[in-house]
Amino acid sequence: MNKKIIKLIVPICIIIGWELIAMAIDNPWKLPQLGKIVTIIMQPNEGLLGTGTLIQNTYFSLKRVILGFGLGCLIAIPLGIGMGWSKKLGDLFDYVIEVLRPIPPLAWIPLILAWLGLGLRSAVVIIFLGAFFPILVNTIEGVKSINLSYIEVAKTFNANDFNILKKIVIPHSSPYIITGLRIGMGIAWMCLVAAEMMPGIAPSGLGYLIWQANTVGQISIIIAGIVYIGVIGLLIDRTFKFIENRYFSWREVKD
Amino acid sequence: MEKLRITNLEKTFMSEKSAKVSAVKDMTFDVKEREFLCIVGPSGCGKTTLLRMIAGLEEPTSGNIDWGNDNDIDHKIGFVFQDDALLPWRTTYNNIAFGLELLKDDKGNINEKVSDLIEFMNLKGFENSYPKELSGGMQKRVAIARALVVDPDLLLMDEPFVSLDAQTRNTLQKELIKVWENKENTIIFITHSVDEAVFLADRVLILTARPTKVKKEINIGLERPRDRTSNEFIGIRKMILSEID
Repeated sequence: MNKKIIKLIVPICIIIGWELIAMAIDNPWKLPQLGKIVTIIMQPNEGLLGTGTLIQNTYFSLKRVILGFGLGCLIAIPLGIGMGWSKKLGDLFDYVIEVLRPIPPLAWIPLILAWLGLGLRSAVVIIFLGAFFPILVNTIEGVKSINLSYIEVAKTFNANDFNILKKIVIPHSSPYIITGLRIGMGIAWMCLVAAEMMPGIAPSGLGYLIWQANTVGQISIIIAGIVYIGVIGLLIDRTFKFIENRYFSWREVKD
Repeated sequence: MEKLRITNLEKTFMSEKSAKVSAVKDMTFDVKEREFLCIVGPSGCGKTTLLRMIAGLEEPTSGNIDWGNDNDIDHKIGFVFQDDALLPWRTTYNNIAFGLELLKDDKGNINEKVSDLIEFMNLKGFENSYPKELSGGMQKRVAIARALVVDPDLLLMDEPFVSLDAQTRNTLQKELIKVWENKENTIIFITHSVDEAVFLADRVLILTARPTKVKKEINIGLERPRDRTSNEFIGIRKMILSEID
């Protein structure tokens, strides 16, 4: 049987099962029928529960993610290159990073709220924390894994440190950095939704919408919000995957 | 005329237990202009260390490396590493162009020199291939072309053919002789294969075990192309082998 058909079997079963159970239960407060959810998804410009439309909430969520993620890139990539390159700089930050890294970003929420108050800043910082560590760790790994003889090749042609950075360190590390960006973006996206569900942090966004729908028991809006979050997350991930395959095809395939 | 004069060269390393390990000691020899010099010696002796010091990748502990008449000029070196060290993110063309990019040569010049070498090294059709897409022999050709592109004053080769199968190895040895006759390079070639040394070299230096110094030098003096099965060839081989053991 065709591979694509095999992959479709389980999703189709789930959809049919859902619809059958929903009809049997016949209670939209527990399990709405698919038609109702699809209607909400297909009308992204419709105002929902006074929180704005799906499009507007998506926009706010994306804006926060891009700000937090961008800030993460700006700090993590140069720091990672520095820490991978210079043993001293690596040692200098090593303990702090090893201790902070395993802390779930959401655990910082009370502290961040206390220090930065409600609003965009706090949301951005939580997302930043989510994106920062995967990008940093992958960048360090990329720089450290450089074959020393690549650098020596450059040295036999009298390359200076700047040229070694530009022509050896950065090209070699870029696929690692891209992987870090992809993982960091995934975590940033999860942090965002969770952060938006915290009471009072930012009254907009897909997470906020889901939380509002919860307080009034609108299951179909919750599910529509979840679908949006899932699809956008998937699209972002696929974009990074595409970049990895398109620009880093030179990488040795590891089994 | 001498290209390079090595005098009383010494290199000591600190081992992990802070003991001094002497890799190279009292090394003295000359390299003549346009000479093909092969260096053989027991494995683990300081052959590679010696080459790295000449390339400027390592500082000698003491002793001198003097360049013929023009000691002050910045010398261009071509280094062929044992593991090729081709940059995996660069295509054949861009790998070969690497040295010229670093020397800030202009685009037209780079294109001309790289295209010539691609032709000369039989790499046509593989300009846009990445290293992982090339066979071992092709990768080696790219590595040699990359070293040659800057017209090096001295071509240093560190056991370049060791990982190749016998047939490819023979082919590349012949090609290397063609390169050397054509480009009139001076080459220092390290190998642990006596057969390879006798086939390639004008002169062979035999090194001692650590701390390494020159044990003996032998002028090959056979006509090229050389016949590995000739009595003279086998005779020289035997003589060198007896010196190494």
